[in-house]
Amino acid sequence: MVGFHGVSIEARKVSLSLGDRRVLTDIDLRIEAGDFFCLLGPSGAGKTSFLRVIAGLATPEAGELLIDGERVTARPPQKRGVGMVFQGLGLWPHMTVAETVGYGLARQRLPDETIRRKVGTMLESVGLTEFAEKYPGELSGGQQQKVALARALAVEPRILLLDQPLSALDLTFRTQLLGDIHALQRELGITTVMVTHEPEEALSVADRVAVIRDGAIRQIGSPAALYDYPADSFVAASVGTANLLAGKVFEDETGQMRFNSDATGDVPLFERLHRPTAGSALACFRPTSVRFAPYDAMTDTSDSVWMTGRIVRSEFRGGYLRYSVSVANETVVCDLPHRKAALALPAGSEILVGVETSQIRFINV
Amino acid sequence: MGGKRVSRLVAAVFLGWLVVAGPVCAQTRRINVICSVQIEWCELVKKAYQQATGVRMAVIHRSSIEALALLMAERKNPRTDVWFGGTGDPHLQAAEQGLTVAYRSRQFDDLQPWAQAQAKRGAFRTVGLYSGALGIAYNPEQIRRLGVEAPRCWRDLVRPEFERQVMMGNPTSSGTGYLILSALTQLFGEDGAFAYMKKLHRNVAQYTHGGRGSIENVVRGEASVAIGFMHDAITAQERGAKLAFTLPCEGAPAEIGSLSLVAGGANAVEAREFYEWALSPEAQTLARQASAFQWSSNARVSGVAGLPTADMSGIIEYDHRRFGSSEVRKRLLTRWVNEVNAPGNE
Amino acid sequence: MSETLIMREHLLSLHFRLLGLLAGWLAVALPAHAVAGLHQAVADVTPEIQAMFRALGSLGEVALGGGLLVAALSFWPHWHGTDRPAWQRFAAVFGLFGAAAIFLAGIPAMQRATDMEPGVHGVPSLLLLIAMFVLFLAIHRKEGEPRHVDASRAETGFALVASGWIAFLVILVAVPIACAWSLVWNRGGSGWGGLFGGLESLVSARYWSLGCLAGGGACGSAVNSIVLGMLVATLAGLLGAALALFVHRAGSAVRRSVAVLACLPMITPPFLVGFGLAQLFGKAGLVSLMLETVFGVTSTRWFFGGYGVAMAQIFAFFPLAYFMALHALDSLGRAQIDAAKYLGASNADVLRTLVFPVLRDPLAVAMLVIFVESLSDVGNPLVIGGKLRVLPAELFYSSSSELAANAMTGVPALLLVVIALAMTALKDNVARRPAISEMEAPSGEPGRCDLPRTLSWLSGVLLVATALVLIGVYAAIGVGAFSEGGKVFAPFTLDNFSRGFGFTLTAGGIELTGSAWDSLLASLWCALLASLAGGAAGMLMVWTLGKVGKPSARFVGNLSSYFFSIPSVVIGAGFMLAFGSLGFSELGAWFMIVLAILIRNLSICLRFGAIAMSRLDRAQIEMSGLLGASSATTFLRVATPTLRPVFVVCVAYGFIRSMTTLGSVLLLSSAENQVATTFMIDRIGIGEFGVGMAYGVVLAGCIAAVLSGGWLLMSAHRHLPGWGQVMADLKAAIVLAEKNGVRGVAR
Repeated sequence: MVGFHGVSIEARKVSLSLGDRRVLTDIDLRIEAGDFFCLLGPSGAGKTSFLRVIAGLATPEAGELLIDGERVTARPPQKRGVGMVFQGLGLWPHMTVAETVGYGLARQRLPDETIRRKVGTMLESVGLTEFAEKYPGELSGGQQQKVALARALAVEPRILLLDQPLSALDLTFRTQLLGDIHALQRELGITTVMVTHEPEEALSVADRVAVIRDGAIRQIGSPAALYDYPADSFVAASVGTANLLAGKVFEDETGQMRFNSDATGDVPLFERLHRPTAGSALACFRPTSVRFAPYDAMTDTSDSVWMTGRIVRSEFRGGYLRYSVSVANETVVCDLPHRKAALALPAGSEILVGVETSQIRFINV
Repeated sequence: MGGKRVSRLVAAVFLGWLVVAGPVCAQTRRINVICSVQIEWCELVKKAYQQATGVRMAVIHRSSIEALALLMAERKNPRTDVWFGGTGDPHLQAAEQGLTVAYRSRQFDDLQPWAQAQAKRGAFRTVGLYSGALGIAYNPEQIRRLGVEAPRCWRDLVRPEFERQVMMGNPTSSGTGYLILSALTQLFGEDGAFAYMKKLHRNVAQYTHGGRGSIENVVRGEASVAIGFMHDAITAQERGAKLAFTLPCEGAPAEIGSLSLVAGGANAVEAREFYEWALSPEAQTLARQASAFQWSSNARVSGVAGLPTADMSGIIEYDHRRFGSSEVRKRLLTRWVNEVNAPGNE
Repeated sequence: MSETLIMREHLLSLHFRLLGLLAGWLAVALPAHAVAGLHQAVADVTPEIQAMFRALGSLGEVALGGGLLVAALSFWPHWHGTDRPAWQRFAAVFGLFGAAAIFLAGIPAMQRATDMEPGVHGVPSLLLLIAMFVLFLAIHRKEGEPRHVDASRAETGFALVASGWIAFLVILVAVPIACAWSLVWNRGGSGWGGLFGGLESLVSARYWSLGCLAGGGACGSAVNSIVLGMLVATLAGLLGAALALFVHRAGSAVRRSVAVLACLPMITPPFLVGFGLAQLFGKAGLVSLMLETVFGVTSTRWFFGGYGVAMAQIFAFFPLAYFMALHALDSLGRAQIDAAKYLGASNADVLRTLVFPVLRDPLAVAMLVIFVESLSDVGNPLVIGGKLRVLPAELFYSSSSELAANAMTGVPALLLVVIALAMTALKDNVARRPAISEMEAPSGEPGRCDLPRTLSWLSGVLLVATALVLIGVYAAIGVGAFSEGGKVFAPFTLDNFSRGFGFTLTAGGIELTGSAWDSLLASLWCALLASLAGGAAGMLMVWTLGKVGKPSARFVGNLSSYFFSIPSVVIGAGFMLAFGSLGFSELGAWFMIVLAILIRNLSICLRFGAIAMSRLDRAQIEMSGLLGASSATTFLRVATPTLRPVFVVCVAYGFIRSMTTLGSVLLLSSAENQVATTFMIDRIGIGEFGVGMAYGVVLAGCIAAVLSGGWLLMSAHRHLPGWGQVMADLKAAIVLAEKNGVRGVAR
């Protein structure tokens, strides 16, 4: 499609306060041209505020914002070339879909024919052509989202900002719409920043994700990096269910780094990269890295950690069974694949829980 | 919880007071009066009569024509006992329609001849209570400012200099207004009178609801000239208003304010007592206290110093019977409504 | 089955119903009228034939009533089964309207023509009433709904209440109006001559002359009324919108003070506003005198007449437009405005493309409501109208004199009703536009739109001017109340108050000597009764309509809405004509007055009821039913706590409106039956300005005192609505409910 090209966004030490509350503190990040970037975090973390800073609806009190290498911190929203889909959608109930989508073009005083053409193309790419003369009140939630999206894209912005676009939709529609947004982004190649608090959304479509908490960025990286190598327990929990066992990292007489906790026992650490330092630490591993063995089985401890535990509860989740296992006063969540006609292990049974050491990430606290 | 109890207690006390007050109110003797004279006089009558006799009086103030309409509407179940005051023609109409009862007062022979004549006209269903002459009242300063001579005759009022400066009562709702209409008919003949009224219409600022309102407006400066009663003008002068009054040179009518007992009223005994009281010299002198300077019907009441006596000079011979009949009234009023106060006439 | 459903929906659609009403009336009343006329024509010839025609007339009515009863009974669901052929339903609906028509038009006409006792007509009337009850019961069933366990008893009960409501409407609203109408047809005789004479008088120049536009003449009263109404509606609407635009952006302090200012005209009768304006702008008014002394401009009576009445009505009615516009502006979400600004819209663009379209429909509704209010205003034309002829004043003047018994009363009443109904229909159409009201209210903070400089300045100036005028008006009234004769520069006196509200302390307690106490207490009582009854009626009716089938509910809701939009003067006149001649005891007369006041409030009470019902939690109600509670118990124990806050607001609003109404009671007052407003206008009319103003002060004070007293009394209870809730409910009832028209009633 003509007219779109991605640009980079860079924030340098951006800080923002609303009233006397500090909302963003020293945000430093860079988004490459054409990236699909996600901001992930709980409510009140400052994600929407940062989005509004990029959009130009909020002025930071410190720091700089650069779009495509130019300083735009002081520029008004209309001059930044940014398209935004607001959380409340902000659709106008008295305008038809076609009028809504064409609103920005009309403000640019383009000739009617051009506007009609562009609106038509836009509606086609979001799949709403037959709704052109309807009012937003007559559309479903998902369709309304698409209208807001089309409206933002109609003016061919350099950047697309999405503020929690899926929060008001049902689960099935969410996956569908997310897929549509992803496909559209791929096709257009436009730099997109999406704000969400659902980790599945962020992980499934983003090129890079930033986890934000209390106005500060905790970690930026690709979804896999965040999932496998979280920087701290917060990030670990933000991107998916994580088992975090508290313990200590120490150096033994031979100079070998070891991790010790009640649950895991003594574990030697062999990783070169991401090596934790001595002190308190958490052993972090995902439910899917776990396997079971009968409690009296012989286990190979060379590359795995085996823990004795008792099954507290099991949940059937269709493709897999989620077991909560009590291990030395801590609860370990284990996701095991479900095979047809297999029965879940009963609650109360003793079990051996095993994790490959390579799958464990040790995080300093 | 305490608040709830308190509020329930207050509500109970309130309701209890209402329940008790209702029947208590109903025990006292009562009389319902329609009063068609000026308000101060009405209120004074009410106060004085209640003090003198202890009878509880409910008074409603209505112009004489409205009072007649009210009595007609209430015919089947009258809620009024006495009709006090108001110009005589509606009283005669009420008598004609049987809305009032015949009664000859004990003091009949003390009354002025015109009061007695009124009673006879109405087959004793009504009697003269007071009399007043109708004329032209004006504000001398406003007249001077307009640069015209003071009006002395009816025909002065239709001069173009008085455009929107004249106030008079609306004949459909005010007895005074109808009196003007019928007086002019007697002076100039019916067609002559209507031609005159059509011309006058251009000069009229407003047809007031009741007759007295026109003089009040002149006093306040909202208009320069009013057609009204001499006693109302005198009342205003007493209050210090700059007002002059003259009887029109072609002739002026005098109204005979009347008193009637309503047929079928609930409190007939109290009504008769009140009737007698109203005709007594004491009651009629009360009018002065209320600044009501009509000529009293009881001859035993002395004239007020400095005011013309009730000798009726300059007063035209007014055919009360004819102009009191409902047929003539209806015809004149309908004609006035259709020809004078109509869009075609402006 | 579905075809009959569609046919039924179509039958009960509004247009068809109105056409049916008209057709029914023409088809039935004209022959009835002709019959009456015929017997008049032969009256002089043979008394026997006259008696025969009379008997024929009565027999005809009995036959009609009886036949309808039989037809209706055949529709009784228990006897007939669920499927009724379309023609039977058509016949039922048509018969219903025909019956109503003959009841409305035929009986008063015959009564007047033959001067017969009401008793003779009682039997067929009763039969007709029963027929209407039964017909309603017959068509009330919901289609295809499973019957609940307790259904049959409850359904019948609800249907009875609903049909009782229809009977109430017919007797108390339609019959009085019909009496007024029948005066038109009976002008100069009855029969065909009377009919044509009546039609002729309807279009006479008295009402429709356009002389003033052609220059050098005056216009007819209908023209005056319509032009005045349109002028006032437009200007008041624009004023309200401009003020709302300004206040919308201002801080909460400004918002609150403007709200107080805007509420002032609502708690005083409209003619008091007009009177206060006269104090300022009349020939002897304060402003005119100032202009004369300072600038030497001679003061004239420009104020008394069209200009003054228009000004007074604009200031009295603009709060409605203001609140509706403000509500519409507040509903604009921040996201919507941001999105527009985002796409390059300047402030002017935002105004043009977002704000004005959102304002358009609420303002249109407000303007139409103000038009009808202006049409019914009888106080201002009486007090400051000068020689201006408008329909309500004509109606009043002709009703209050003995000219009442002719077309002079009938024609203004008829014209007022027709114009008011036409405007209400228009308003319902506007309020019904689907697209805009369907959308969910946007969440998040409300947006603030910036105004371009000129508009900002203009609205600011308007706000200041309005505030000054309103403050001036009420100050003039306040000062005048304490001055001799009500003049502004007269010496201070308490005379006005002591004459009206004096009291002495005697041995037995406090004796009320002032002349105004009776009317004030009467007003308080009537207002209290009317507002309580209105609130209860509103809730009960909406509850009942919710239980009865949807088509019927819509039908009843529409009917009620139209009936209650009739100007109050017409209702007052109609009551006087229809029931005045029946002759009532004192209690009966008070009952009539309370009813007249009540009817004026009922439309908004129904809307409050609709809001209250929409607050109810269906789950709670159904749970209560499942646990075995009867309908009454459910209503009392489960529904009432939720309804109570809205009920309180409804009663408060109804109280204010009842205390300040004039038109409905003006013609019904007599010796003991005076209320505050009639007393006031009486005094003002005869020139007792000071007393009138003192009463105004006392009235406003009373309303405030009662409202705060009620507040204190209720504050002990837990379910008192907070101030925010009160304002929200009030706004919703006035604003949203007006917007939703009658749809809200039949939810």
